[in-house]
Amino acid sequence: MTSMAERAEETGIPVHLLDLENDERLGDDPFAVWDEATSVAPLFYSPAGRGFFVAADYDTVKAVLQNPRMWSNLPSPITYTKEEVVIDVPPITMDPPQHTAYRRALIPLFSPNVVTTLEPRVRELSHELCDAIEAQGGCDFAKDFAGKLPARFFLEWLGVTRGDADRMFKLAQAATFDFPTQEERDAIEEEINKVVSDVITARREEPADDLATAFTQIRIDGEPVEEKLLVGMATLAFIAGQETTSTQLSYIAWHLARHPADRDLLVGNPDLLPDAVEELMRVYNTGGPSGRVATQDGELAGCPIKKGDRVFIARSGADRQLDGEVQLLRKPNRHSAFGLGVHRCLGSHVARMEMRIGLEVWHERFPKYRLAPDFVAKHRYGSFMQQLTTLPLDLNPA
Amino acid sequence: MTSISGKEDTGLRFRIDTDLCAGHGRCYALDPDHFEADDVGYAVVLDKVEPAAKRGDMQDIVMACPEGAILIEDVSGD
Repeated sequence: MTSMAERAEETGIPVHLLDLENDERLGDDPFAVWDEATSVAPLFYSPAGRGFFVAADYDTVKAVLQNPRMWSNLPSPITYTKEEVVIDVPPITMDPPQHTAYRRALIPLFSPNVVTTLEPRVRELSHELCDAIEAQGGCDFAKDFAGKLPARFFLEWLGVTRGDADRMFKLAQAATFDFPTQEERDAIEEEINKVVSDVITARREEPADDLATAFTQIRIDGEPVEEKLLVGMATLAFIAGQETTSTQLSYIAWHLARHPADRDLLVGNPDLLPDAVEELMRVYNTGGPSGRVATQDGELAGCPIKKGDRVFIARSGADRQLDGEVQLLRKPNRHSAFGLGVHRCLGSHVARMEMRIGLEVWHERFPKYRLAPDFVAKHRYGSFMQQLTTLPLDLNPA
Repeated sequence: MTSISGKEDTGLRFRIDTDLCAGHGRCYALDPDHFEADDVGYAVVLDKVEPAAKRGDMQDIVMACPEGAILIEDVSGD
C-alpha cells in the first residue's frame, strides 16, 4: 500500500504545506493562508503533522461531506495534528446509519419554529450587555459582547445556570482550540462532561423548560439514550452553542467596523441583516471540525484514495474562492460555514437568529461604532478554527 | 397537474432531492412563495408551477442551496 505522499506524487496531486499548528501567518491573517491554500489545487497533499490530503475547493469539500459512507467521522485522530489526538463529540463523531437516528432525535430541539420563541430572550440579553458596555464607556467587542451573548443565552437554554459563567465559556473555547495532547484534551472534555452530567441528573429529578430536560426525554427506537452518549451530546451542545457563534459574530463586527458604508447600510436597514450575515459568514468562514478518514478505497478529485487516508476540509478557503469580495446583498449566495451534508450544523437556525438579533440591538445602541485607532488584528490559531483575540471598538467616535 | 394559482399547468417547478437536503433552510428563507419548512426544518416544495420565463429567477434559488439539493423540472400539461 502506497502512502498518501507517494500517491500524490504518482498522480500529480500538488504538495503544499498547510500547517495549522505552526504557521505563524495564521495569527496575522488566517484568511490569506486559506486563500493561498485554495489557489494550489482542488485537492493537495500537506506534509504537516502526520500528513493529510486537503479538500480545498467547494466541489471537493462537498464531495467529501456528502459522502459519509466513504469519509467517516467516527472518533478518530484529528487530521492535521502532530500528536495523535482523538475527538469524540457525538453525534458529529458518528456515521450513518447510527448517526441518522440521533440526528433525527435532536433536530426538532433546534428547529426554526423553536428558534422563533427564543428571540425575545436574545434581544433582552443583548440590551443588558449593551447597558453594561455603555456604563463602562468602551469595549472589547470580542470579550464584552460576542464573548458573552451566545454563552449567556445558550447556557441558560441548556440549563447550566450554576457555576462560573466565564469558566464555562473558557472551557468551550479550550475544547475548540486546544488539542496539545490526548491527556489535556480528555481533561477538558471530562470537566465539561461533569457540568452537563450534573444538570442532566438534576433534570431527571425535577424537569424544567430547558434543553437538558429535553435531552433526558430523547428516545432512540423507543429506548432512552445510554448515559455516556447522552452526556457526550450535551457536551457538544455546551461547546458548539457558546463558542462558534461568538467567534463568527466578532468577525462580522470586525468587517462592519472597518467598512462604515456597510455598517451604515445595515444600521439603516436592519431587514438586510439576514443576507449580510450570510455573506459575512461566507467571507469570514471561521472553519470548524474538519477531518474525515476514508473507510474504503476510492477516488477524490482524480486522486486514488486508500482506506485510512486522512482529509482536511478547507471550508474557509473554499467559500472565499467563490468570490473574495464582500457584497452584503449577494444573490445567489451559498457557503459551507455551517458545514454540508449529514453533519450540517444542527444549531444553524439558532446561530443565525442570535447574530441577527445581536447585531440589530448593537446597531440600535451604537450606530457609529468603529475600530479603535491603531488596532492590529490578531487571530488565535492552531485549531481547525480561527478567532479574533480582541476587537476594541470606539462606540461614539468624534 | 394543476397549480395552486390554477393559471399555469405547463412550465417549471422546483423539486427537492431529499437525500441531499440537510435542512440549511436557505430556500424557504429566500423564497417563501415556493418553499416551506417541515416541522423540524427540512425543505418542502409548495405545489406551484411557473412560466418558463421565470427560469432565471428560479436558477438563483437553485444556486443558493449549499447542498445542490434543489432541481428545476419541466411540467407538461397533459
